[in-house]
Amino acid sequence: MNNIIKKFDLDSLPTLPTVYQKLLEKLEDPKATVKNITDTIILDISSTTKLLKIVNSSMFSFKSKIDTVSQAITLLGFNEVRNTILSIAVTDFFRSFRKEQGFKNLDLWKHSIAVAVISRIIGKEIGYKNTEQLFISGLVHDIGKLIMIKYYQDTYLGIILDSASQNESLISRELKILGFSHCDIGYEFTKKWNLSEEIAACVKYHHSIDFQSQYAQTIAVVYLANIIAKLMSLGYSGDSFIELPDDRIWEILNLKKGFLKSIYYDIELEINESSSLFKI
Amino acid sequence: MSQLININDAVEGMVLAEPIFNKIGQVMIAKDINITSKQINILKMWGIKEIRIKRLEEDILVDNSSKIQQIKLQILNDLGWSNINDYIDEMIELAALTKIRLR
Repeated sequence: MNNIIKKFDLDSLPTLPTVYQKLLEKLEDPKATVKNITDTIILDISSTTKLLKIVNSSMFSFKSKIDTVSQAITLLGFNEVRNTILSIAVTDFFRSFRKEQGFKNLDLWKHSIAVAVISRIIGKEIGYKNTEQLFISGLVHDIGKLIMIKYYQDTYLGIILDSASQNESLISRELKILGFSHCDIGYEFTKKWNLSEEIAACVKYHHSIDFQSQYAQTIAVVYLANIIAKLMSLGYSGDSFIELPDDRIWEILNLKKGFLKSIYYDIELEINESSSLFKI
Repeated sequence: MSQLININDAVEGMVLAEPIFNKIGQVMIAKDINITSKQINILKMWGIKEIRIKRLEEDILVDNSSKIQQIKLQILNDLGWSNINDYIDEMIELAALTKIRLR
């Protein structure tokens, strides 16, 4: 598989957006201060505007209005601000695929937001601490598909159409025709963008959980959220095949009975909110 | 959508679909208001037998429970899933709610 991916030319994967890259560099510096982190962010006007819109939304529900980036950092902390800037960068990345012929990136985006929101809802329920990490995992879990459509165009559109007409899973069709899947390419993308190991694991294993992984529970959340988003027809992932969940996830997640069917309206509410904040 | 119900079936929190007038035509309780148990008692004292309430989407879905069962079976059949546990049954219910609302 490595050989084929090498043929794919990993160097051609899109690079990290400048503002996010600079932010990561600054945050690695143990002497990072609110002032120099702020200075890095405000160089990018678009990210600054969006950041302030998001931190003032009901997603965070602060009592008073946050007017400046330094206020946002003080109230939210470096991690949360970094995650928000990353979500903005991923949104911009999806938007840049608007012009790919024959492929509805908006449908994939809606699906991704749904998986992000459902992952966060399940994460909260099971007492997972870093739920924003789950949100981002949901946003990027299918990002490999965007990259494949860009590089393989008609071949990849053919793979999507054939898998739908033959009721075969998209991933099995990808493996048959290309020898690797959107999970493999997405995983390479997460490395290139320096995303955390945990997010990378979710992207790589969201169709076949690695139960040995230290991140098995997180992966299971995104795996389940992906299936629920498909069952509820939230957006379209390009994959009409819906797999029966692996029985082992129920033990890892240990959800309360009645929880899943109770989240229907929460999902709808949070999707509405997130889609207005992260527009492509 | 609204429904006429017996005052004895009224419970706190229901939303009035039309205002309630007194004998001389003054509005005593406006519509679109969540009625309180106190107001329900007052209505009973006034001798009002029935009130018209707004129905929530969720309530309509409860009425549709047998229809939901039918749709769930259909979805399972389309998916070709077997060995259904309680969790999967709940997931199928989410799918069924979506189907009902899309109609």
